[in-house]
Amino acid sequence: MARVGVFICYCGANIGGTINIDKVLEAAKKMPMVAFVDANKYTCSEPGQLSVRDAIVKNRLNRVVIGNCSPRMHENTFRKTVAQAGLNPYLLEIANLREHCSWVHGNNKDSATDKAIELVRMAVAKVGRDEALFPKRFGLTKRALVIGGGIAGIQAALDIANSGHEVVLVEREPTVGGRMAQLDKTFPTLDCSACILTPKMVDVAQHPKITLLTCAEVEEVKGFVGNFEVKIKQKARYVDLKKCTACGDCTKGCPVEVPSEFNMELGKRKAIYIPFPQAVPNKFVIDKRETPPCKTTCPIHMDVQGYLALIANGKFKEAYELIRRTNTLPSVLGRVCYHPCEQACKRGYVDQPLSICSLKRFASDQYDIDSLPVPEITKTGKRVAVIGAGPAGLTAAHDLALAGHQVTIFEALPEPGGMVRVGIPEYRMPRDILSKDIQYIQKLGVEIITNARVGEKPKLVELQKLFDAILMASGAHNSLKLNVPGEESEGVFHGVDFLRAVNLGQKADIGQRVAVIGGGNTAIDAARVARRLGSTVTIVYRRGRDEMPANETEILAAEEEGIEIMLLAAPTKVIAEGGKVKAIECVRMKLGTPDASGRPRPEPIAGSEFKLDVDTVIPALGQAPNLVFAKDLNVAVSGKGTVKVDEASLATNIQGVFACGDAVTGPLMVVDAMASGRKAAGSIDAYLKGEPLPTTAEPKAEAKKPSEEEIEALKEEYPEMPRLKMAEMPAEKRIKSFAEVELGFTPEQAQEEAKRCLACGVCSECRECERLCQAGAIDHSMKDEVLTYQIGSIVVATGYKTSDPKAYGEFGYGRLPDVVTGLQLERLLSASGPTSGEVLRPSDGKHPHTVVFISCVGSRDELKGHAYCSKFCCMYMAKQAIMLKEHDPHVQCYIFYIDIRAGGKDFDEFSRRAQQEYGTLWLRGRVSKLYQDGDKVMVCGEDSLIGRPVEIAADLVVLATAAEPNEGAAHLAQTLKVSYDTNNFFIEAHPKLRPVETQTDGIFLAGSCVGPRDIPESVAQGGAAAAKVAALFSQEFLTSDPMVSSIDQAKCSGCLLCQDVCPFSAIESQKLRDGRTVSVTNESLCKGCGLCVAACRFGAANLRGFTQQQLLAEVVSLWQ
Amino acid sequence: MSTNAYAYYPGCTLHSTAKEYDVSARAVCEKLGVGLEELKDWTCCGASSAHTTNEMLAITLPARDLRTAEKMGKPLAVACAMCFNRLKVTEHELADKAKLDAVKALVGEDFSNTAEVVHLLQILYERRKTMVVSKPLKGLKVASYYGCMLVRPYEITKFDDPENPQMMDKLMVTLGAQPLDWDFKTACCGASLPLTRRDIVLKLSHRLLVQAQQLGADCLAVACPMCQFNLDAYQEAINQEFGSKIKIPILYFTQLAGLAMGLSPHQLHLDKHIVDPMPALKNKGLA
Repeated sequence: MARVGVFICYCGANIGGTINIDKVLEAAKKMPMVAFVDANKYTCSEPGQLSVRDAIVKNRLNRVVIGNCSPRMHENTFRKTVAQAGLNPYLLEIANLREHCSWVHGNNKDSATDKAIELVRMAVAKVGRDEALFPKRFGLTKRALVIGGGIAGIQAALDIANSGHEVVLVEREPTVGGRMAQLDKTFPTLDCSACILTPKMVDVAQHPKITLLTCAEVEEVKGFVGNFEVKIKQKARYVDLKKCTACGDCTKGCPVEVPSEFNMELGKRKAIYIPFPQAVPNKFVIDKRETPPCKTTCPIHMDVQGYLALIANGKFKEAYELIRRTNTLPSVLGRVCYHPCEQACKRGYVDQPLSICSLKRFASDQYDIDSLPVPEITKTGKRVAVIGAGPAGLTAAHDLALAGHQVTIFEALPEPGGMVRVGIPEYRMPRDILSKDIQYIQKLGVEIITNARVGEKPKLVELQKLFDAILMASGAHNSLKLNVPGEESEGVFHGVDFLRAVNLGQKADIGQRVAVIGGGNTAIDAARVARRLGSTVTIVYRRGRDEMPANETEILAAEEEGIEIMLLAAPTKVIAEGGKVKAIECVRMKLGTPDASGRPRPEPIAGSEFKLDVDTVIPALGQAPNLVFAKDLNVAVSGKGTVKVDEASLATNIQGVFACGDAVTGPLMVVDAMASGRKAAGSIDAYLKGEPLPTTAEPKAEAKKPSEEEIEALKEEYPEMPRLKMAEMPAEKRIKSFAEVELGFTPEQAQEEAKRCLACGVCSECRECERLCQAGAIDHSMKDEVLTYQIGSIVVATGYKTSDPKAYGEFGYGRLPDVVTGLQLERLLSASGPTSGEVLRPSDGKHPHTVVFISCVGSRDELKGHAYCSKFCCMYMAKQAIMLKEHDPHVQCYIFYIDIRAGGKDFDEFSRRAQQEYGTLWLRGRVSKLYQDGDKVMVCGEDSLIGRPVEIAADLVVLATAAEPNEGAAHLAQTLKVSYDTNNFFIEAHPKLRPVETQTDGIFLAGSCVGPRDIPESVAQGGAAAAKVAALFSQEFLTSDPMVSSIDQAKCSGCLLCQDVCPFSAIESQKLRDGRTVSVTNESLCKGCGLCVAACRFGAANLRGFTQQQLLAEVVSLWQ
Repeated sequence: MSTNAYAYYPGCTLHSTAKEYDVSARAVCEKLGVGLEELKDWTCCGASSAHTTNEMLAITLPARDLRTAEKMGKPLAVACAMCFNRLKVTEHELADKAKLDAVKALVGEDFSNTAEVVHLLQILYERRKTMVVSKPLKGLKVASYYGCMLVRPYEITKFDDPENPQMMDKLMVTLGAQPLDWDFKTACCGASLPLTRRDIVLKLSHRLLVQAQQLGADCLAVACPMCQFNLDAYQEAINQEFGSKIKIPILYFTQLAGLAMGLSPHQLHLDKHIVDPMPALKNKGLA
């Protein structure tokens, strides 16, 4: 039988002043189960608690109701009281007669009293159904995690470590130090910030109990106090921390410069850099962003940004060497590649893409390949036969030779080079340059046998006996037929055959009036060659200009050379006389619906036939492979006439026989063939080594198109600078010979063009750093890692950043160069800053005489900025005013202020010193506008104390911007499941009494991540958080809150809906012995939110201490 | 922009002291295929006089014109920046039902405050990509002067960026001219004070004209008859007062647009300015 004691508290006048306590007591006496009532002036005081304990014992009470303040205040207090009297502490209920009654109904005392009686009645009904609850114990890991390596985090880490526990300190930047490292001097002592900070930074790095992770971020946190499992992403530095000596050789050679974040973008840093000289760890780091789109799109993934950066810096030899790392035929691709990289180039969104192809050619032209050394190769003794010395076969041979295999290429034609030799005309690809590239490959030990047509001599079967592997790279040299009557007449000379004849110096007789049928590169090549042989040429193409597959530049060049392009026409008949071509009959076409290639299907227009008087017809409709020889070994051939291969390994159906290039894909571009050859070489190498062949094909490389915002940002940052046009031989001159048409860049032109590169990936992977590093510390292949730690307690110290003043257009930040932020001035004052401690104006580098500070830019502003005050700006402006005068005694500083907040120890004296000893003038008023007048920045403000507008001609204006939580604070709060406010600051458990705790057990806070704090506060809080952690770790075990969910397994239907709704993943499944699956609560994870109770349709889930029966009893009690 | 038919509110000055604004606006709109139908029986918007004396008067005067535009069923194109501002403020105020009812009682007619108020600059700006610029104003350095009334208060006018607006500048680019990046785009010229506080008008106008001159402006482009008057008529007085040597023509943006679209200086009433724009234009070969 419940014997309830009801104790009403007057709480001084807080409750007693509004509620008629006597009336409540009278009513309580009549309530069911109530055995004793009493009132107390201050129940939470020592005598008050004593009287409750005595009453429990004397009256044999077994349930207690206290009508007092919010349970958040004293529920725990009275649980202890009740426990001391021998009762289970959970047989207690609080009726909140203060926050929920007297404090909100102060103007209606009668109703307030009635309500108080109801609240007590409900509490009595509930307590009658209270059960004794017993907290569980669980173990804890005594290792702390400190997130953020600024001064607060450093202090917390040191204090925890010194109390004997392990600490993992995670810092996102490459170095610890945070904002304090960016400061020059600190107020009010004017200590050099780095001097007082760096010893602590070094301590943290060297402390035996601290594991320091930089370039690292917390990714995932699971678990609960004492038992967190934390996943940390350790980003790749690309520099081995153990080997780097910070000598700086690497950074000297790095060609990429970007604005320095540490110097607030006032200076530059290289892609490989140390943020500042005292950084800890004092090691370099490489800033690598996404792989630039040029490299992604290139079929052979050239380090485009790399060699562009090297060319821009005049390092042509190094550029060529970098090109060779991925490109076996650079002189070729530099002239004939269709450059998909240029279509993807982000510069194209600003003005025009970089002339990547031509720059590659420039670099290749600078270097004499004959002087390229041949590396040492260890022979494997394996032999590979390659069929076809085109770009695919040559690239494969090159790679295989370097891998140590003996390669012999069998080339059917008299000269090696494949389509590059016999398809592409000399005026695009000079013969000797191509030969030189091929000769280098031969120097690697590759044997090329020409005039050897596989299938005739030797036969494929013979090769199989003599070689360990065969690579079919025979390309696609068969011309597709026109399929019109009269095609066999004399004078019909297929384009591929025509070009081959001309390129091999054989007879290639054509007439005077030539019609070339087709719109691809072969057609254009054939047309331009025919022109050079003296004929008049007309290209006949069945679709429109936009549908022509040939390179745009080629089409333009053809037109310049006087070649007519007849669009939307196709031949239907070749008209011959005496077996010789006399004319062709054509029909006009119109564009219809798109076909399989996506291009509009050409449809003939009935009755539009016309004749074209020609004596030569050159069809150039496309090519197909000649695979007759493949029958010898029964190599499978597809319906399209190409070799069937496994997409991932390029292996055919015959073991040891592989295929690549046009023979597999049908006609594609040179660079595609090279990529294919490289891939085949990789497979063959694995095959010869007895390793498994690749099983997954590389996904199609496609660079993402940048978003609209990104394009706008790029356009804003980079002024338009059009692409350099390549000098070309004039049209009238060039049709008289086969000399190269494009004349190339000069070194100055090449550098200028290369400088347009936006450095999309920042680090261009040019490998200069690797080359220059004598310690071998650079490793570009490093990958991000995920580290997992078992953690007992977490301290969040993620700090702040300063706000962007661009929201205040009237201050012209970003437009007027001499308007800077407080942190930027700090960098100018700093000896390690971009101007080595000389305060110089960004516009002209002169020393400023008149410096004007504007306070509260972004703070104390509900409309445009933050409502809060950023706390430390008044102090740092005073400090900066002093320091400016120390640097230059002729400086005059003005500070436009609203208030001067100098509340800390020695702060007011310091501020006054800036006025009295250093002549700083404080003007009470706001600034409405800044404008440029000559070389001065005019500051239009007001001095409200004299009631007049004030205009000051300043040399430098400093904006005191707001302190905001660092980037990613909200995301981290969500990861930790810790509360944060609308400004993204973390919320402490109680702003007065629990400043370093959160509502989440085991997670503590320190420093500016909670609100703007200065250094002494941040250090104090770091220590306070450490003390909390130490207190936690001083226990052998922790106890859990017993007011958790419990599932009645008899009622549970196993629907598992509770699992879905639980935000803490605290409900698990359990299979009972009778085969049923039911839910069970993990009591250590459960936070008692009650969502499962609401979700359970069977009433199986209940919350201990707030059972459904109790809640129902409370409601029912109101009707009594 | 989904229409080319606008109701047109010239305001008091466009039929008198700012006639050239009216003429050039109509000419340019005709070229662009934009119809301007003048409001019948329109009333003065009240300008500064009304809103400094009587709140009810200040919103009722413009409300009458909003009612007319609503009845015409067309968006209301406004030329003068002050009229634009007053009409916009009225539109904003009449969202309050009590005020709307009071105004309706005074006007004597029922209307719903649904008329859309648009400034001429917006109309031209929206059509800049399809403008036919036959005589680009090549080499003409123009300081775009927006004045206060178009951009402030921002919540009511919602017109461009209040600190560094770009509409007129971008329009100038389309016209082939070279807009100057200057800091006084929205600085006050002295407004309605030339008769009562001439000293203020001289001081403020001097400051911004000096800036324009320093940056090498060939002319100012304006969108408000008050600004045009202050900056144009008082250059002599400014020079006398401050010892400066300012001689910068002040042109309406519609006049510049008209020139670029091939209309003649005569058609655009370029002879109605106190500081003659012809020398500057002839100097650049544009007239």
